[in-house]
Amino acid sequence: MKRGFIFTLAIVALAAVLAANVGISPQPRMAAAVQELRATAVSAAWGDVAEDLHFMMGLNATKVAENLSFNDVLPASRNLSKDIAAYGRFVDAYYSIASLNVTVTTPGGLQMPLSQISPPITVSPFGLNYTYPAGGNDGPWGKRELQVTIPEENFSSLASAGVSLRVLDGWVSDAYDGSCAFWSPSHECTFGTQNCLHLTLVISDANTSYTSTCGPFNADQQSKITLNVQNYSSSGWIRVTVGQLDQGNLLTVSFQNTRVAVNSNFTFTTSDFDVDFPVRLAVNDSYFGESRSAAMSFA
Amino acid sequence: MAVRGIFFTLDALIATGIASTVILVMLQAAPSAHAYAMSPLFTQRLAQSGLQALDESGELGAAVQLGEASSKLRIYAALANFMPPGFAANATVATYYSEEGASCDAGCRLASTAPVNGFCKCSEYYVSFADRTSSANATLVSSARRMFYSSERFGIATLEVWPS
Repeated sequence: MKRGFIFTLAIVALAAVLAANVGISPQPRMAAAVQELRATAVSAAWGDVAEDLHFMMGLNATKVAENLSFNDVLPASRNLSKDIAAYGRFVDAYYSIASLNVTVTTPGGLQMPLSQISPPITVSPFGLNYTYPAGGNDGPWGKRELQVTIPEENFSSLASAGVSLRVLDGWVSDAYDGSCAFWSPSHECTFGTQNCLHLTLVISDANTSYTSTCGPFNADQQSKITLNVQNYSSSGWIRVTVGQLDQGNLLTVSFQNTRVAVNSNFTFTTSDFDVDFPVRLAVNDSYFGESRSAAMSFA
Repeated sequence: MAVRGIFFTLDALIATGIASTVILVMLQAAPSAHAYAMSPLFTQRLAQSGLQALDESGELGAAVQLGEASSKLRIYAALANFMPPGFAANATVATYYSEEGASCDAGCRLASTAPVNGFCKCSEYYVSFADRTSSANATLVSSARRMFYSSERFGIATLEVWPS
């Protein structure tokens, strides 16, 4: 009698579970599947736009533990401002079809066109900015100059830096011996220097590589090296300016009549940092109510 | 004696019922890998990651640089490497350039001689990685789109994927 009762209970319980699994209307399951499909599509669209913009900017950033490395070429070989603006129009005309909408907003939430995306690239929480300050007709994306800034109060979070410049269309015509003689002015650290920048500087062309043995530098004062560059039809120069922090400069690379590949490395005291554009990229599928909005991470 | 036989029969029937119910519940709770592979979500992810692979390996960008025949061959080869067995795909790759003037360059008048929305269409390639008419399950055809940029040209690639 007891056994029969237990059997009956077990049957009723299992049948209930089965009914719950089988008996549920397929509609909610279908709706959940469609929602997941749209979420996947929105996420893929977000990655698509972000990757294209990174590629168009011609800047590659790599983060490995405490190290951050930027690879860049100055000046830009194309009119990037124009290309980015055209990309924005292309997105609107050919990609944002149906209910899919791609927008860029400021951190404050104000919407802006894709064409208005501009440097700096920010390394938080240190407030280190990687930017192109000198505007020509082609704006900051012309990459006429490269500047790295960091607030003085955050300088201690930077353990060391390195800059490698490679002249792409000529050769260094100065007989640079790596000494401080080519630096003018030159402010090396002395006992008691508060903000001392350990900088590795390598300047090279197709044939030769020159390593500066000058430094470490007092980042509170300005030090500068200028080397002449020559090619078959013209002459120019490249310049690296180190400091001064109270005027907002950590490093500046400037040049004239030449193209330079710039690899800049920064080693921080912690690996806990983010490299972002100060904008948020949002992809929204208004029909299905799916969206993804996130800072445009760079590394 | 006859009553005992009836109880035995009933007992056996109940046991069979319980076993069947347990098996059915387990089947419902754990869909097989095969069922997952045949889901629209899987085919859509396959389409999206296929396009991402084509873009990041430079095959889409090559559509701008190369002629139609070479570009199609490269995309076909990339799909052959990427697609898992039992799946087929069709890729469409279209390229455009931004034109602020009134007429399109001679080689980019596929859509019109004048720019449409500020763009001129330069090419459109269609690459079939299988015969869709074979045994395609039309309800499981997923498609994904991806933009790309190369040498001042903009492109849209579409990839359709389905179990063959």
